[in-house]
Amino acid sequence: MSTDLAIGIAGAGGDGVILLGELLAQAAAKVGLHAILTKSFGPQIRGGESSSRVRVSDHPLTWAGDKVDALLLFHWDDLARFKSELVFKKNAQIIVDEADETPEDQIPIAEYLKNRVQRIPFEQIAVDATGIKRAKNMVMAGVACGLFNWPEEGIEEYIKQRFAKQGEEVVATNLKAVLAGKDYAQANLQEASAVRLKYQRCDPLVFISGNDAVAYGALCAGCRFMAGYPITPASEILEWMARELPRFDGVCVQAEDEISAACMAIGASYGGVKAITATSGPGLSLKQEAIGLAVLAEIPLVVVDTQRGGPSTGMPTRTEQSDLNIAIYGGHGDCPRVVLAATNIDECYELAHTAFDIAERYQTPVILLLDQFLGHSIFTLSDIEIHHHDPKREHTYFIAKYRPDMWDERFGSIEEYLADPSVGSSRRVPEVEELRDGFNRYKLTDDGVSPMSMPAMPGGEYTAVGIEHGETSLPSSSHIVHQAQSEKRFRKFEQIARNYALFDSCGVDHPKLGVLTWGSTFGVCEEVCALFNNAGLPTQVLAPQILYPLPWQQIQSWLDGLEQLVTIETNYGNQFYHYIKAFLDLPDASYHYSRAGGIPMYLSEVLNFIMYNITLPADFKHEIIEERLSW
Amino acid sequence: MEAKAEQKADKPAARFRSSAKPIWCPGCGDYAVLNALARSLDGLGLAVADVAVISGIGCSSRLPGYLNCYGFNSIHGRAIPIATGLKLARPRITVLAVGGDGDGFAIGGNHVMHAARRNIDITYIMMDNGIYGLTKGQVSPTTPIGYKTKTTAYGAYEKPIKPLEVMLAYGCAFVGQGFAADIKHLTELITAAIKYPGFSYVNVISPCVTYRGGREQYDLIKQRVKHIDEIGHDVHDWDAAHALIRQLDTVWLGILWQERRETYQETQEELKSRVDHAEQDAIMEIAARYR
Repeated sequence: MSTDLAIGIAGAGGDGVILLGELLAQAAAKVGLHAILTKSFGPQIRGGESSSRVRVSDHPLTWAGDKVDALLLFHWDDLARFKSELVFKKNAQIIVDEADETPEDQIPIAEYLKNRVQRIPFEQIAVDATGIKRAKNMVMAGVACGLFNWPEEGIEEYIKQRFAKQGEEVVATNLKAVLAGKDYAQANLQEASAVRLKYQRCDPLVFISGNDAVAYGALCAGCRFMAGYPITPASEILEWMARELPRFDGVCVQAEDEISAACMAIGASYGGVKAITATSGPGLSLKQEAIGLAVLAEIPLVVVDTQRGGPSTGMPTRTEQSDLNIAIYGGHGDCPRVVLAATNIDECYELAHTAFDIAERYQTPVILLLDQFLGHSIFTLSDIEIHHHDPKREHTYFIAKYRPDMWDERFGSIEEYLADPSVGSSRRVPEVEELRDGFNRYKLTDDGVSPMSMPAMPGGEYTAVGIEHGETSLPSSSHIVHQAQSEKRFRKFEQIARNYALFDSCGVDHPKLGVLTWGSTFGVCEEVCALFNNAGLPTQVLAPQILYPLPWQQIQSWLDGLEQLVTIETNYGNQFYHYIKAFLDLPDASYHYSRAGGIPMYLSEVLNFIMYNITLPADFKHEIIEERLSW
Repeated sequence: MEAKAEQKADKPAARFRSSAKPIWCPGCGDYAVLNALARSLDGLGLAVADVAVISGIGCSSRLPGYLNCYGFNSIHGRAIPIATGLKLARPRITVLAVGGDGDGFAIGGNHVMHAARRNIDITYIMMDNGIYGLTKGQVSPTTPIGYKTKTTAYGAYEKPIKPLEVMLAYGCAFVGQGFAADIKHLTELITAAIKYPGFSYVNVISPCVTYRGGREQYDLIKQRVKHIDEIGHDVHDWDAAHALIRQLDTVWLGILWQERRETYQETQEELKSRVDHAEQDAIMEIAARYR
């Protein structure tokens, strides 16, 4: 019995692989188990082979797991394509449809696994129970219940929920197929299974993708405008907003291109409405000039980048962490912008809040980095609540305060609205005296943040400009003005570095080995860290969630206490390592692992890299690492 | 001479003029557009705080800085998307986009079509001078064939686009044309365009006297000008509008075409009336869908 299981599924178009994966994962979430569902597709738009992987556990999961305990397979052919991704544990169980007649010697798995194969007549069971061949994926779910003790009640609940709209008959048919699969497994296979899930039923968990979580976080943070352009793997954010924003008096536009999407968001934000745009690598390239405009004109703007394999079209459906350089350095000129990176599903939601908070307070663009793994995979949220809903709506507040004639009665009375202590503005509003003798939109202030008016605010009229300007926003080509305004823009980042030193970390407090990483790779490093601590090497993982401005001092003092350092990232060019090396003194014993994306970082490769490179203490318990590597 | 006289006529700026001094050359048609626009906004009785004029880059895109209202002098070609974002977020603001032919029909060409298609309720004033002026004299999308510019040393050889024809084809709700030498007419035209619900396009022949020929342009164009009002044109007759535009020797001034159709804002309102409208507290309930 195990409290942590990973199951792989592979099949061809029409087999219902993705539905089966969702069903297994949702079933787990419904009984309070933590789950991660990753999906992988071939290049076809529709049909074609696909695979998914479900990992469930009774503790919060940080990554998808590399080796699977079991594989549910429709045809041996389908395995061929995903062979490099679906790696088996030594005692893995492989369940394949009996209808596949591939001869023994042509089965595409290692010899030692061949006695772990079980053939089950999925299609036949489906037909016998329901008369429908296609129900074989439901039969597989049933077999998982019988064989692996997968939570049957969760499967039942999810089927009822998922097929509710299609009527009771569809629900009943699917349930029948599940039951038939379970009965078959219990009657024929019980003894053969070494892989069984142990769990206790708890309250259901929220099960959400990174893209949805970031969209939800944005809505909760008060975002009421989105413009985006379809792009894999970020389109879900646009789709989500297109459904939800109209319900909350917001606007979502599918723009004509990426540039337009960024500029529309800038226009809305100039108007005082919290605005977002979301994209992936190619779109981030196209948006750079607009992001630069938001830097110079000092307009709050949130840009989400769900990274994929690059450059150019690269690998749209595959994960990679290779947009770090363009996120930090993409603009021409001295173009500071905040860069945040989500380390896990919770942070997709949380950092969407943080992104708006920073953007509004400091009148700056904020780029929030996710990757295809985080964006497309579905995770149970662990320790966060869908807690805060920021009622601050800049323009509503301005209107209530300055333009009662424009007040929308749907929000109730102005008096009531203003009496609510939680309403207000994160943007710095001009004081009345600041509006009196000519408004200085780009006033030089100690913290670099100037008062920002918005259309309809009497006395605050100004022209926002992408051209260098003096305090009043009049264009200037004076080098003195340029220096002063550059200093002002960078002063904001000193504040941000001080006020938002955001890290994810795990491990012991005074580590000898430090692992520095960023983004979703943090997840696998958490597990690495636990193993090394168990094996007797005090280890800590640090992952800055804010990559620009990086909290240099904190990281430097952390580095100074280390004996050895390892950096881990999923891109070919070692972008993060080069970035930190430019600004920080690294320990002499520093090792840097990075490789091109395509698949998320696996535990085994990280373990192997560290074991091969670092110096281990004399009493190091090698067997702990070796045991894990032998899975 | 014409334009210079016009500059003086409006010297004591209306309440919509800022104190900033334009960088434009003497005789530039853009002065007339600035004055006509300031007069029009004043005449409409709008509060300066309730108007926003958005531009991209170019000589004419400097215009927002010379107005006393909200403005945005942004990046090359992107006036329309910024204006779109602002208008959709703040529908009660009167939003205009202004700029030149390079800004609107070269680098920003994609946006104009889509703003027209979506029928965003903004007014787009195109100051068409047939040249890149701010970068000092390169060929533009509306430079006539044969004209020598700094990048067409042997004469321009690419067929120029015809803005009015293009806008008509895009399904633009309101298409009109004015001339920098006729501020009174231009003021009226801009006023009609601002009042018109939907995307309204005003093409202004706004000569560049520095890089696209001298001041004689005003007289040459004047000889070709005819007023649409005088011929009893039906502004709802697309074929008739198209036929007028195809008369290449004549510069028709006035409203060529208008079509009242649902604006983007109106479709949004309609859409919002159909969706299950959520109270702010309902945000928390979204999480239940993921459980």
